[in-house]
Amino acid sequence: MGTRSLLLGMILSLLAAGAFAHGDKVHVRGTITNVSETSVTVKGADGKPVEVKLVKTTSFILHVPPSTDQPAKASDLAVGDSVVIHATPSGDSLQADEVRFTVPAKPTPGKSAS
Amino acid sequence: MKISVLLLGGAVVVLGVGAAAAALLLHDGVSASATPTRAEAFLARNARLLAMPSNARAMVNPLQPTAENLREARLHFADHCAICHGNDGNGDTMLGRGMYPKPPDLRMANTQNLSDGELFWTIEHGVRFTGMPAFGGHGSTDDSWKLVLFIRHLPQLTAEEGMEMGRYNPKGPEDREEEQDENDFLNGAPAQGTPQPKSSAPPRH
Repeated sequence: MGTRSLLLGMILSLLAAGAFAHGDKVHVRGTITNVSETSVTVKGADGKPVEVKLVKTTSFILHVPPSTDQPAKASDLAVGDSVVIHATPSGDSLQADEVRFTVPAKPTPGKSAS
Repeated sequence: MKISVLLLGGAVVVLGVGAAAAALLLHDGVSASATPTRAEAFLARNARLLAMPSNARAMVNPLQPTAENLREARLHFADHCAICHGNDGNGDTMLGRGMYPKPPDLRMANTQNLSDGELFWTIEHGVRFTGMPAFGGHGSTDDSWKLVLFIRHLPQLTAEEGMEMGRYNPKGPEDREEEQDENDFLNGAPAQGTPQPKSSAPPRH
C-alpha cells in the first residue's frame, strides 16, 4: 500500500490542473439561396451571401412553428427555407455545428401575395 | 572520493528527472489549451486506476436501465454534465476544449470499458487534477447510478433524445433571449443580418 501511495503521489505530482477558455461561435441566419451536400449559402437581411460548410458532425433540426423541433437531415434543406446556423470558424470558412431551419408556409389558396 | 562521485552522479540523475518532469509539464508553456502528451495521458490513466479502491471496481449497479431511469439520467446529465461533456458525451464543448486534460469521449472504449463501479466512483469522487468534480456526498447515490446507466446508453443516443436534452442545458438570460430571437425569426420575423460573432456562446454539442 505504501509503494502504491508513493507511486500515485509521484504520478499526480506530474499532472496539471484544468482551466477554462472562451469560444468563437458565429451565428448565421437568413434564407437559403443555395444548398449542396457539402455546403449551404444563406442570404441575410443585409443581402450578403454567407457560405457555411456542412460536415459529418453537423446536426439538422426542423423547426415547426410555433415551438416544435424535430430531427432532420441535410437532404431536407431546400432553397427558400429560413435557417439559423450555429457555426465554428475554420480558417477562412465556417463549419456548421447546428442547422435549424423551417420550411416556408405555402400560400393559402385564394389569397394573393401583396 | 567514491562518495563525492556518487553524490555527483545522484545530483545529475535528480536534475535529469526534474528536467524531464518540467519538460513534460511545461510543453506549450502552462497553457490549458494544449493537448496532454501521450506520456501524460498514460500516467494519468494509470494514476486513476491506482487511485481507485479495488472494492469500487466490483460494485454492481443496483438500478435497471428502465425508460424512466434513463430519462431522469438524461435530463440530469443535460443539466449538470453536458456543459463540459456535451449532450452526446463527446466532450467537444467550449469548456471541454479549454480544459487540461480534455474530457474524454464517453462513448469510446476508454470509458465504456470501465466497470459500472469505476464509473460510479468517478462521478461520486471526481478526478483530481482534472475538471471532473466530485458529485457525491449529497445523500442518495441513485442519481450517480442512473448516470452510469445513461453513460452506457450514450453510444445509442438518438437525435430526439439529444434535442430533448438541449432544452434542459443550463442557459443564462442572454442565451435565452437569443434563443427566443431565433425562434421568432424561424416563426416568421425578418432576418437581422449575418453573420453575428458570438464570443460567449454556450456549448451546443
